[in-house]
Amino acid sequence: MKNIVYFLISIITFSCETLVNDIDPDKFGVNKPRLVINSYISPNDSLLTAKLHYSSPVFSVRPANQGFGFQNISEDSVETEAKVEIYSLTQKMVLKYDKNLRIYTVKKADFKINAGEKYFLKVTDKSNTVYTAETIIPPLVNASLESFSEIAPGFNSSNNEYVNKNLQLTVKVNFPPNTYASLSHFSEYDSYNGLNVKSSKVSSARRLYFNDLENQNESAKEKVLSTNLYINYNKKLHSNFKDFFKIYSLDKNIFDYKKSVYSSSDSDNPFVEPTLVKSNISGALGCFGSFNYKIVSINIKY
Amino acid sequence: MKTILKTIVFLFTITTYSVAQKKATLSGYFKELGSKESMIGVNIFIKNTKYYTSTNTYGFYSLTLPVNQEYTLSASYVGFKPMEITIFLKADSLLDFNLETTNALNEVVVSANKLGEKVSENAQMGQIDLPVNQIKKIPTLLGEKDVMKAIQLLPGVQKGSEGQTGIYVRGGGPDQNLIILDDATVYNANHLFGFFSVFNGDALKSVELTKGGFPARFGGRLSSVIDLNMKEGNKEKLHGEAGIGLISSRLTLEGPILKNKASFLISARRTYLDILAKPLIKRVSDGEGTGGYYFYDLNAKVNYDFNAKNKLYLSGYFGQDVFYVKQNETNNKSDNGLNWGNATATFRWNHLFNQKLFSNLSFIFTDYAFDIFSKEKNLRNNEVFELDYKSAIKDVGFKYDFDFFPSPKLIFKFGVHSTFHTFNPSAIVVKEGTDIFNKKQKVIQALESGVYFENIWNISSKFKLNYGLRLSNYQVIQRTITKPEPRISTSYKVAQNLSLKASFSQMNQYVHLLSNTGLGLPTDLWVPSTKKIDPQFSKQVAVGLAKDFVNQGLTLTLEAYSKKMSQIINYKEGSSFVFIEEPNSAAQAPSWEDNITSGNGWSEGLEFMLQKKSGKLSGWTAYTLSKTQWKFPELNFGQTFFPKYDRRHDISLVGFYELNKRISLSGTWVFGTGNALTIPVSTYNASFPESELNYYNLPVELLNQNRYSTYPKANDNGLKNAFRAENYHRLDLGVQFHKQKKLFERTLEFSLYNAYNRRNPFFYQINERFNVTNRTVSTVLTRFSVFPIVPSFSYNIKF
Repeated sequence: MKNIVYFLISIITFSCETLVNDIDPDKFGVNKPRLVINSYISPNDSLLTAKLHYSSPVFSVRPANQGFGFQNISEDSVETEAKVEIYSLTQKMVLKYDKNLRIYTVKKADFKINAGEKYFLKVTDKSNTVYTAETIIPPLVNASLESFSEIAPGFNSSNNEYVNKNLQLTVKVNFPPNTYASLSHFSEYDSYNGLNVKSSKVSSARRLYFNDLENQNESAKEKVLSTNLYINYNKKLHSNFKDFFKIYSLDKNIFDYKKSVYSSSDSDNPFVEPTLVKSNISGALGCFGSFNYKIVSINIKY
Repeated sequence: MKTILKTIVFLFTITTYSVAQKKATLSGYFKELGSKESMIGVNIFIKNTKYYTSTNTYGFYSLTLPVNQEYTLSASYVGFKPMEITIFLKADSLLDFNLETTNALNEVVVSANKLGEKVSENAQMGQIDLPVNQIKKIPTLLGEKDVMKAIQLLPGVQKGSEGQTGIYVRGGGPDQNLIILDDATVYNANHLFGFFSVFNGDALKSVELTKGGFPARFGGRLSSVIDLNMKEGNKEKLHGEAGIGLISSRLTLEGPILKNKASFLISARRTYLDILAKPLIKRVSDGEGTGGYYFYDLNAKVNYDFNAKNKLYLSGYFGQDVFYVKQNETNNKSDNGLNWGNATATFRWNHLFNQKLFSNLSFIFTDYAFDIFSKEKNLRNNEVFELDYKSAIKDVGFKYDFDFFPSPKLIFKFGVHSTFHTFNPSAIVVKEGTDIFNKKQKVIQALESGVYFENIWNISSKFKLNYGLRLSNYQVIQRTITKPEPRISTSYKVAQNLSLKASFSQMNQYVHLLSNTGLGLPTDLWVPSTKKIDPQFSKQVAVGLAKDFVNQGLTLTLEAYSKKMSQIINYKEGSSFVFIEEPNSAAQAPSWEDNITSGNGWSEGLEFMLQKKSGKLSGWTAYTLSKTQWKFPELNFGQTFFPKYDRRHDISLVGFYELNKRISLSGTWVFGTGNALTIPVSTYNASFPESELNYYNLPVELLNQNRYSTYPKANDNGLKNAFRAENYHRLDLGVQFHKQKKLFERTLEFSLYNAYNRRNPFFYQINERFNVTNRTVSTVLTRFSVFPIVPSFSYNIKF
């Protein structure tokens, strides 16, 4: 009987050992960096560009001062020694690495990019591995302003120095077949520095507002896209605002890539199926795509 | 398809021709001596002839033989003494037999197939009967005897996650198993999030698993049929069983209502985790909260024998899982919970038209529902938040089945089944202050029907054939589908006690289970085929051999199968069964039909089973080598991938040892290749052209060096399910002490689950660890296990 009691006590003690254990990921061969290529071409653009870097293995050790969360992309991870070519059936351009911009780029010059034509990307990395992709330039989409309204009262500072506005921009878009659209807003304004000296006019680099990508599909001919704008400015530093929306037509490569990136990062819901980020580049991560855009001015009263 | 139909018509013609002879019929029922419980699958041989048959689901047999001859009938059944009787057949006769049970303490009979039925004698492939007595001997988690976990130990059946009751048969998903209890479909067979099944072994009479070579009477699922029958209840005297375990207690009573005419059975089980945990929770929450979990189930059956030709049965199951958390704080009051449960009811009428034609008419009702609710009230400002999420499926239907026994060489089975489904995929109501969000997915009704016939034909002493055709029909709004499902199973005896077997079957499945987790959670949704969603379809071919080693008491079966599945469904990437979003955005959320995608699957495998049926040491060894792959255009970039429960190797060793009359030992060891999972491999910055362009509009000098960091981060998950979890293995041990007391038989059982304390993976998570010494952060993969070594005991009585 004594033995049985000892046996049971030892079992209970043994079973209290932790049920949570870290395991060596190398055991599963999952810890490999891969080349990421992001390159987009457009008839509107004056440059051809491609950005190349290596992904960071998830399971790694890094200095604590880099912070928690997934590892940031370091400068070391940029691929600088690759050969990058963009070409069509009749033309070819080789892109050079720009140390300042940390991208491969070349002025488009005589390289013609036409809607409906097919273009190719070929990247050869330092180990002579070749990555290829292709895209067909989408046509411009027709877009018209559907509505533009203030959806919530903005906040003005007590001294009337700062102005805030919550606005919604709604645009009706006609989609040509196999085309997807995206909407953004930007402003041009006069800017003053802190000494109240008027500077030259510059375009603002307003961040793209993420649009309704979910409801787009190939069969839709007409869709209404809308985006919310939150405008905040200091009256003393900015004046003479001119606002525009930019309506992009995107090829399927960009649409799929963008949709999957956003979907994969939406991890708040524990019941969501994991999303694999799409890539149209053979052997690499990222996207080689094309787009077109037009700019339409809008009148916002400040 | 035309060729198959022509072949079936030809076979039907020649078998019908061959029965045109004058004979007399001997028929009746096989019952247990004492309880008068009808016996399913008793094998009846006529000595020195090639004639044999077996009893159907209701214990009925029929043998049509040449008249004016003497016959010696021999009958056998697992756990019962063999019977032999000589009769002289002059004319049609009705003869019932009672088989006497062997004394379990004196004689050991363990079998995963029917004793007396040599595996080499049966044409049926891929079908295994599990005696309930045997299920009760297998050591299990916390001592809770479980049918589904016993089935997991058979070849071709893979377990899900650690401790779960989910089964994956020949590469099929958990929704591809038709689980029927007294003809009623059980949609969610899980208690406690899948750790226990809803079936109480004390109320069950038989359990049969069919995983291939499906007889035509079964339809509606691609991968398996688990046919469970409840006991009818002792017709002679009151009898009972009771048990007290670590987490639950159970009680079963059965007895006559009218002696030898009518009987009842009632069996109930309830867990008491909530009661045990109540003081602890109260203490931890300073008296402000309560919470707990319990499940209960109730099986009940009554039956009445009107006369030799008519019997009525009414049976039902009701089970519920309840999980609740209540808080009563100074400023806040909340009530949250999750309930789910099945209810089934079956009314059956057995009618004997004549001695050769038996019929059963069943009316069936099934209801499965789950409900998540949350109510919170702020007592300061009286603001109330309420959330209620519901999903349900309800069936009403009938089955009319006929068994026709024209000769000992032939049995025809035919019938019609029809089920009216009402699907309520989901309904969510959220109330916050005066805002009410109400989103109800539309209710879908569908009618699923089937007509079938099958012929079990003993062509010669060597060659046996079981063929049939099922014509399934499905009607849903704006769509009607009719599909033929040919089935054939055959065996050829190449030597004494050695047969070669082959089978082919086609199956269609019109209802589907959407599961985010594969864990058998109650949140998994049953949904119908619709105008957008095609039915799932499979073709399965199997070949095998069966060998009986009579002297050693061993049987060996070896089966190889190949199964192709089409239009199987899965959630799309990024989709979810529940929309945890703001109410106004959920209003635009897509329906479940938009959340799913369909594709194809393939599974090939080799199954081996060596079984020892009798003796002091008995049990079996099962090994499955299999490979399952799926291909969905919208998943994994359109490339093939392994589903989560693809398992290359699966081994089960099951052993029982009778030490003496009072002590019996049991043990199981299982091994399985790790699950296929998706985990991130690396992370990177994604950029889009719109953001690029905005920067290009700036003068070059304004481009800053940190531009990369402004783009969204993306995870490189590699390919879907490319990561293999660690292998799973576990040893369970049990010992039973039996004692015959004055008023009852007592069994005391001790068991050890996971006896060598293996840390099997339940799930993996990515975590970060901070090292204080060298001030580094490492991202690591963490394995979570749920069950270490778990001892348990139970005290059971039988009277």
